[in-house]
Amino acid sequence: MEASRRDFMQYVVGAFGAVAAVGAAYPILKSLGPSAAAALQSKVDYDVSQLKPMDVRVTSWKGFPVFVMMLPTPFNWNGPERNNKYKNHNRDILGNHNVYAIIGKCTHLGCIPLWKPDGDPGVHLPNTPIFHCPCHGSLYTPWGDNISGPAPLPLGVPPQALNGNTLEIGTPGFVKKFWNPYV
Amino acid sequence: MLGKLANYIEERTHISQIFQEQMVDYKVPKNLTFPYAFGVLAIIAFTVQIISGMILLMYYKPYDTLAFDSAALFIWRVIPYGWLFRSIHAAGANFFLAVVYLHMFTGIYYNAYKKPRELVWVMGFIIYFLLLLTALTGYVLPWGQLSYWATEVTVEIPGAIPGVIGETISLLMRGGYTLGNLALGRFFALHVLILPLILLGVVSIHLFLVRAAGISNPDGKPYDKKKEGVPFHPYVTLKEGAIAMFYLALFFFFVFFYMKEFLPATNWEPANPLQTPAEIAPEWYLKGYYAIFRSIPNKFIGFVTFNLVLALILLLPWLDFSPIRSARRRPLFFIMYIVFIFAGAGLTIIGTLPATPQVAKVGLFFTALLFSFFIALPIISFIELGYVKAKGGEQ
Repeated sequence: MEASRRDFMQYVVGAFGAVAAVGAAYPILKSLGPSAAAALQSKVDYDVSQLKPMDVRVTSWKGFPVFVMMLPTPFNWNGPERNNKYKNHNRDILGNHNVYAIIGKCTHLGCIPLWKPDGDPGVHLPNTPIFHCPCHGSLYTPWGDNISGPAPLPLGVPPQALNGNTLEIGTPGFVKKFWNPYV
Repeated sequence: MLGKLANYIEERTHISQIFQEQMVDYKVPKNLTFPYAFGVLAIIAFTVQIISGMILLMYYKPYDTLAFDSAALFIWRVIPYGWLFRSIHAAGANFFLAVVYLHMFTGIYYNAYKKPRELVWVMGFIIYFLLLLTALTGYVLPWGQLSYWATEVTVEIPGAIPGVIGETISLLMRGGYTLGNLALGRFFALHVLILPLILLGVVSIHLFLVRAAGISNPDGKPYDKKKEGVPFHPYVTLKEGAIAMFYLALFFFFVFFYMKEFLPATNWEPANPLQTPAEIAPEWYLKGYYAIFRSIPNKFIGFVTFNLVLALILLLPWLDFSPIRSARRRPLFFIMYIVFIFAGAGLTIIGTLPATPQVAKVGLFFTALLFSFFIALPIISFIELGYVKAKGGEQ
């Protein structure tokens, strides 16, 4: 009998110990995870009512710089294209939306491209709106498709939805999945 | 697969052999009482402080303009469960010291400091003293009004030493004439690395010495380890494991429901070096010494007196040289032990009262009572020595 009583004690203490260990591990792991403030970053609402055609505004989503832009309607892109697997990749994702967000981080080495709405004579593209990465000269279309330079992939496109005058970045809408070329 | 891994480790470390030798073959008296668990509870409290402290350390900023916000805003509100870890750390400090006090009172009651355990007591005292320093240095870190002014008062205490010495010590502790960034940086380094590192070392020595000298027993009689001893595991581990669960339950009850006691409202205001809050008193674990210091009209004598109490606690093994161990068999010692507890509790309560001349008088009375314990010890020992000799050296 003595032994079985001790066994009982052993199980009870062991069980309480296991519960205590789990109880301790839970908040410790939780405290290392993203905070509520960081979680807020995963959904960014941007008011686009003040945006004018050819405007680019910069905001931030999940730590990425994000370009919120408005193209005039109709808009005809007359620049060059690059014939590869990713030809018109972002343009297809974004469809015919003229207000959208793309991630402003060059897929080459992570610099933030400059918006040149009147083109850049220095790169022989006058009168063609482009993004020009100042680090190594990559060029992107207004939708973020890479057309020249060392950049291997188009710019990232966050999931987004347009709700009235609010562009909800991070909410699946007309772009459902995050096109993430930075992994 | 797991079995294979266990075998692999076993073959190379002989860990089960070490476990057998250190936990099962290690025999302890079978009549150990409940208070013997306070040692294990102290280790648990220390572990809780280390784990919660490591998490706080990730986010705390030891800089005067940032410290308060990092503790009260960032840790408390932004970090998930940050409030929990700060609560655990703040309440844990109080529980740790409470457990250590109970552990010391247990040691005094059972005369666990006597030969061959004098060094265990000395190491234990060093742990206690380092713990008080750790608590003091940690107290300033949240940089609230209470933190700031309680520490300001503490660093002023060595100023009671006359001449340049006292002022120099105060200056060294603060790193200047006001409590600022210099002091915060020093206290931070002491609190998070230097003192805990020393504590870990001293605690290891303390545990080693306990094993080397063997554990005392409540009857204070020598015992036959083979006949009267029980294996440490599973007898003591299970019993103290169960007590540890109750301790943690009590601890977390306070953490979740009574945190106001440990993080008072005054400390939710950022430190203001130009305005002292209405009431400043040290934490309860220092109130006894504080009451002695306050009750004696002369500051220097007050300073010497409370340090003398600390020194006398350290010297207990030599003040009490009676061959008889444990208050169970020493009626005179038992009476004086009660007086000691009564005086200690009385002084702690007086430390909470406002400083009026009447309270100071009562404080002096309790101080005298406290010293009567230390004075009585050699006298009782002398009487008991005569008693033992008269009985022919038999205890």
